[in-house]
Amino acid sequence: MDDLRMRARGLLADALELTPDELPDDASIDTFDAWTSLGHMRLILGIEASMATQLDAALVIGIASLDDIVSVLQNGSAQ
Amino acid sequence: MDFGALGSVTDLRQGTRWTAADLARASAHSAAVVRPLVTPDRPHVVIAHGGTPMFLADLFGVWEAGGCAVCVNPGLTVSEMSVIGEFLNPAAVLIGDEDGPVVPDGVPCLNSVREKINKNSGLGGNLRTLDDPALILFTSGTSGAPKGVVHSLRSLFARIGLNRAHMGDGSLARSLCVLPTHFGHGLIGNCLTPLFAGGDLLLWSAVSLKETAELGATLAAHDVTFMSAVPAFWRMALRLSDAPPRPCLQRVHIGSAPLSSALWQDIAQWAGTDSVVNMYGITETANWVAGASLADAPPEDGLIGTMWGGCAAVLAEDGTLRSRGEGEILLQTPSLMLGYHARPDLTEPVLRNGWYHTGDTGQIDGDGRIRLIGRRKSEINKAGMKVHPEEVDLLLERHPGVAEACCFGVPDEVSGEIVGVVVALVATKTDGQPAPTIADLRDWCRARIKAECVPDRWFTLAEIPKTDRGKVNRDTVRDRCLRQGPG
Repeated sequence: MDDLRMRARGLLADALELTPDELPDDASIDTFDAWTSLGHMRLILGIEASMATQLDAALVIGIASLDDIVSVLQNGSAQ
Repeated sequence: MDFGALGSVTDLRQGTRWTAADLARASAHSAAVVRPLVTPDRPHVVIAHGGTPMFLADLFGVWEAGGCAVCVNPGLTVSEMSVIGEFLNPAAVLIGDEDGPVVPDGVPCLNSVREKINKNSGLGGNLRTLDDPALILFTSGTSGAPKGVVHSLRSLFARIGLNRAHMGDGSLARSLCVLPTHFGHGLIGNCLTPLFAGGDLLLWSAVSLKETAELGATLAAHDVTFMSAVPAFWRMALRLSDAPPRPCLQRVHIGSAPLSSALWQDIAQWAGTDSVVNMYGITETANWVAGASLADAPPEDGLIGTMWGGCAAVLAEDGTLRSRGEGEILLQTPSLMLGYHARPDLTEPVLRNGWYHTGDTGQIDGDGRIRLIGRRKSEINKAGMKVHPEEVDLLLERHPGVAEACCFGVPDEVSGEIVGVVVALVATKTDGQPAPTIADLRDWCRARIKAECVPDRWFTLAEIPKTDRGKVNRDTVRDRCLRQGPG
């Protein structure tokens, strides 16, 4: 789980052009200003490249927090 | 203003619809609010809100009062608003109901809806001509060296008239605006053109991801006939939203950033029409000046079609002006700006002998079709938002821990480009402060420039490489930084 969380942090940090330690643990698209819609699309591309699959539109919209990214990496779905 | 010819405006989020008569009443009220403040020596009224019918009422109200409207990004920082305040000494700043920028001391800050007027303040006014400055849109420099594009009512009405002639009022029956209204593309192309064509304008500015996923359904629900957006928006929309359940779009424009032929075709398939037009426009020309439609020719990277009024030429390498060939694209158009406000130093190099020098390079063929192949200016195009790297350099070099900075565009799959910067930190500290981290510098920038200008990707070097003539070549610096990697 810790590995997945680190991976999730890495993907989000890369997408938002930040370092992982700049991400708050509770980072969410609603509360973290740096998590813009363009950054979100970069995140989706990063997740897809990492999983070698294409996420459906509902999941793209459903990912809204670091926990969601972990969940997608683990189960293929958001929380 | 002849409000009788205007269409209606609907705020999709609020669900409110303003008829032309509603707009006329609100504009008259807004005019009465600002008229006592506007003088020939102090004509500027900053409108620091947008995306609502009230924004349009304030714009028309400022014009009715004989003022010059200055439409700014509501997300400007305190220091950016301060720069604009000093630069323009505005008569007033009009704000909306949402949070807006902090207004400089000494400048009346008004919400025109809430202001009461006395019965005499709506009378008289400042007479203006069609050639007086009527609109200023800042394209850069809000952090230090303002560059405000000035348009007259004549240039705006010329552009609106030419847009209508080339688009046809029928396709403008119901238009959706998803763009910010402080950009020429959103304001002049996507709002004023349909409104003056008598169409229904639907405002849905700055759509969220969730809203983007509903684009197809929204278009069909409102039977939207026309919309325009930037390529980055379309990339998201095509990914997130089903196509409209029934065909409604008669015309689609894409502009403000380079469009690939593949995306062009994908948009046409999604929209269910081949009237998908790659537009070329610049704030200095009051938005669109040329367009290429899939209905007329197959897509090509860089193809922007023929002029919508006026004419184009190329300035060849040998300095000759030619009607066809390759070189810098020069334009003559009735919608050309008056110049940059109070900046003859910036105006003179781009307005020469009646030609506007775009800074873009391209080819014009024998049929007058224009193809863009590059640009001479160093402007960064981040999802349609223009960032001037020189502005970022100058800002960062004001930080005591930065010796030198060089900003450049970095290719990006989502935005087209993002903003990259390399900084050389001051080697010797005199104040005992530790060297700033990248996070420190990013936060420092966020407090001083609007979000889209804050560099996305940061690099550090001991010294920024120069040419043998001591100059910085941004492309060379970018290539070296990308090879080296961030940090």
